Amino acid sequence: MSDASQPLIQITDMTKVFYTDEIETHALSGVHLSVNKGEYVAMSGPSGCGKSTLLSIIGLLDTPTGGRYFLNNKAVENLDFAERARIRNQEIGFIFQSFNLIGDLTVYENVELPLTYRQRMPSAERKGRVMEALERVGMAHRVRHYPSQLSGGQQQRVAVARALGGKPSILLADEPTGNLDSRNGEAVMELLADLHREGATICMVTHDPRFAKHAQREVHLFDGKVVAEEELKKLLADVGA
Amino acid sequence: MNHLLQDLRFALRQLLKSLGFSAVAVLTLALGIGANTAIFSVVNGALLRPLPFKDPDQIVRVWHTPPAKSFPGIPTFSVSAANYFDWQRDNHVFERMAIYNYRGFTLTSTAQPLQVDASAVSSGFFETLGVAPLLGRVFSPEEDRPGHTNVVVLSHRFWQEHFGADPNLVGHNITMDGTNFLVAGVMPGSFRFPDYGPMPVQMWTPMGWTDKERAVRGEHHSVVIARLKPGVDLKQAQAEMNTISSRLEQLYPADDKGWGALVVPLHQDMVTDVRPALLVLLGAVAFVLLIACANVANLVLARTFARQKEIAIRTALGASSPRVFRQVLTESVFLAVIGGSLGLIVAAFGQRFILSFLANQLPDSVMVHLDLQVLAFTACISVLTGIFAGVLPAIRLAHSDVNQALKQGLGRTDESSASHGTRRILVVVEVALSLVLLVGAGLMIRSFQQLQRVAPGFESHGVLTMTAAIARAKFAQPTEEVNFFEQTLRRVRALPGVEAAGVIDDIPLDNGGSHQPISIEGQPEVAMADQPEVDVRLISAGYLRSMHIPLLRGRDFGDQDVSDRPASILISESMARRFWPGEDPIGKRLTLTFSPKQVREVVGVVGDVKLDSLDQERPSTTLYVPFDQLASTEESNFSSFPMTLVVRTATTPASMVSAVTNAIHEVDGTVPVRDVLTMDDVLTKSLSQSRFNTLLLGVFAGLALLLAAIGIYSVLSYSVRQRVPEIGIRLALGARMTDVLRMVVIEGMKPTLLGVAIGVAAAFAMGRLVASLIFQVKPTDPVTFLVVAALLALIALLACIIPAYRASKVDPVIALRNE
Repeated sequence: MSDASQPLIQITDMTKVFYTDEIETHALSGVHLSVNKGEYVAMSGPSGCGKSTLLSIIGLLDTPTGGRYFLNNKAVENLDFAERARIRNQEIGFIFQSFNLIGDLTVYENVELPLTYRQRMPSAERKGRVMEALERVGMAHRVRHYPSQLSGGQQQRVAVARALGGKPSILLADEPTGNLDSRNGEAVMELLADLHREGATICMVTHDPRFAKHAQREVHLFDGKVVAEEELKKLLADVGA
Repeated sequence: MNHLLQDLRFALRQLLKSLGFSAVAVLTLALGIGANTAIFSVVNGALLRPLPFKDPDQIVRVWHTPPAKSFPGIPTFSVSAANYFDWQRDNHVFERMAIYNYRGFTLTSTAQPLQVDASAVSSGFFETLGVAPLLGRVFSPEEDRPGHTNVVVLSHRFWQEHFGADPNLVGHNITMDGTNFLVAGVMPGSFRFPDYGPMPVQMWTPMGWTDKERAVRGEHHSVVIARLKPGVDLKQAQAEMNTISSRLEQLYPADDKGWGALVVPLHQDMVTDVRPALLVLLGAVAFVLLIACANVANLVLARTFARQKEIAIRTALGASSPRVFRQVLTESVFLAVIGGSLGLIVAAFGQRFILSFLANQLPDSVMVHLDLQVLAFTACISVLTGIFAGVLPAIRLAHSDVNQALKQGLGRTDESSASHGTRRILVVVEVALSLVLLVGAGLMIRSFQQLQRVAPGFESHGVLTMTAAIARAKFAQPTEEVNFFEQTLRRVRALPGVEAAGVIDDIPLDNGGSHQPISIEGQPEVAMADQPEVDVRLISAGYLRSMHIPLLRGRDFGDQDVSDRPASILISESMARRFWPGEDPIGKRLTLTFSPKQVREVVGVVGDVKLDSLDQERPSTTLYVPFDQLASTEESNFSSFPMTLVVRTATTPASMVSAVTNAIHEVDGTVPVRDVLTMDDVLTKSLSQSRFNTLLLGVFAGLALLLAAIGIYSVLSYSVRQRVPEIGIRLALGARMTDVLRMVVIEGMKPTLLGVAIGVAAAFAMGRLVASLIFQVKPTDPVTFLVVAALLALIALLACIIPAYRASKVDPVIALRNE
């Protein structure tokens, strides 16, 4: 899936400020981050540290207030809506904490959905990709089911298949086990680990140290900044967390 | 295409999933689109579709314009024979010109004598219209000469109904008025011109005027059509006719002074009466559709915000804004197309309903169907409605905050204040549009009430009327016709249950009757064009009693008013006031210009009667001539004519029909009877256009009111659902139920009152559009505006009450737990 020597994501001095009435909230304050192709990075930190904001910006769901962001050597921080949608569709695969499957679509249709937003993809190829992705996560036997007919673990596997179907450059997972019990959570983590072994680049947000251990590298965030693990421990001790 | 199919499939699934929403939206759209289709099908048939003639845009009608002084309020008039021939000879703008008028026959070659409505047409009539016969031929120029006119061309319907569509009939004779007429041809089914009242003409016969008849300039009985030469426009034709009219005025001042000509496109002329009402109704029904659109947009907005998360997921997965936009629009258009399809059913019923009212107003040449043009219209407005209803939700969703939506829980999304504002604006629009429609309907209702209060000048209740359809050649002498009716009336008066009976040539409110110039004894003699015109009616003794028309002075007609006694007349009160103000008119004498040999004496003054319609504004200056003196008034070339029996009964008029018919047939079994109506029917018929306008506008306004109420209710219900946690907090902090009730009602009434204010301003501005349709009511009638505004506010208040009540019943514990 990748060449591990090249940075896929290059973020420098990124800031994100939210303005509500007269209050400024600095969600990210000068973040530097680099993720190489084929790397498996876990982003962790306490609640409100900015990890989900960072993932949203990496996934082009949000735009930074300042700093630079290169995805596949292309500056993407100032792209328009349409171009961001195109890149999201082709380069990025999302796995959400709450699965975010569309209840009115079948398993097959949910996985097919991002592919339908691609121009000129023949239906045979689309079908091939959908079935390949579903087989990869072990859900090919449930194509006609609706999300409500599946367990949480199965739904998350379908969500992973949906992320894989587009053959993205990177998989972004936001607390992928947050809504699962430990057994299903572990199964999803093993699935991500398998994908990584097969060459996938993965960025995962998690607050659970057990799951963070699955990643090659752990990035710690605190108050919108990337900090070293030791520093994070000290900071957490200071605030009594 | 593939994407479109996917969107359609998803749209169908969404509709099936929310059946309640879908049903309300589809029904709303079906009503809106159906009503529009029904009205459009009539407008299309009456105003838009070309007449079924060759190059119909080139065909015009040429009317006389009478001198305004003598004919106040009458813009156009029939044409005299001599002027027609001069127009035909002198003009350079018309390729062809033809003249026609009504002629009645009695067909006796059928089992029962049958009254036939025919049109006597000049040579070139069919060629002017550019129609060819289905069978046989039309008339040759030679057949338009006296002595050669016993030839007819039959209408397709008449040929089918009375001769079993026998193709061998052409070339054979039929017997009418005791004379053989050669059937020269049969016209195609689509040719139904001209029409006289509700029935189309049944046959055509040559005019065949004698030289003497061709020279008559002062009597106007005929209608002229013409075909413009290629390259000549209406303006040029009008200019030419103005020049010719001026010349004729100078050449024949006695007859033509003040008489002009007016060239009008035939199609426009045929639908003149019905056009304003149809256009107002088309506008009204468009308003209903706009309200339906606003309502559905509101429903779609509410539903799509509940789907914000789904749209956010799609966007996160790479759906571009146009793609999301297209999907939302596909859903609303899909909804509208289903609504439109159901609307066709509504339209089919609606059209039948409309035509049942308009049958008397629409020319028979106008054919109204749900044809391809109408279907195309429905398809277009369905798609446009879908786009209109979906565009706001689509814009909002395509630009919503994806990140924010994804962070929200699965089952819940928060509506932004901007989108809530959009929904309130839609309610304001709905209320404003509804108020305009309600004001229009209110004005119509007030106008209709005024019309119903108008005293027609007679007592319609308990009066039976029927026409003895005497053919032109039925009686050779006037005395024969007088004798026939005298005998008939004697028999009718002898019937048990008959209180009084008389005859008249044209009953009031039935679009008939003649005007004639008069010269008053003792006043300076002037040219005919400068003579005053009055309505002239021929009546027998007993007519006034039958109609309960009051005799105000002098005496009624009686046995002394016969042909060998001094000519007498009765006049209306308005005529007495106009010509002898402050004087006693009894004993005054005048001459009817078309019967110059007779000087007539006023023997009585009677009450005014509305002759044209109940909303007739001009004074009823009417002169009544005794029927029994007919023999002394007519010229030597007498043609007999129909008269209408008017019978006042002590029982139900309808129960006397067969007895009165028998009385006629006992005198002469070959006289056909037609137009059997009670006078109440005639009165009702005369109100039909006004009733139709009132009813239809009322229906549309009621529909608008209902839709607006649904709109207010849905916005408020949704708002209350969204605000449950907030209401819970308010209640937890000590708010009383009445506080919550008041808060929700105020929230609902704010857009309503703003809509009422805007609607009042719009209705004021648009008042002139309905001015021509209302009677004795100002378009800015304050009572109507006040009542309508209050009604709308009341309905809005009712629509607010259920959501407000629900809000007041929120359990603060549950609401706060959910928060």
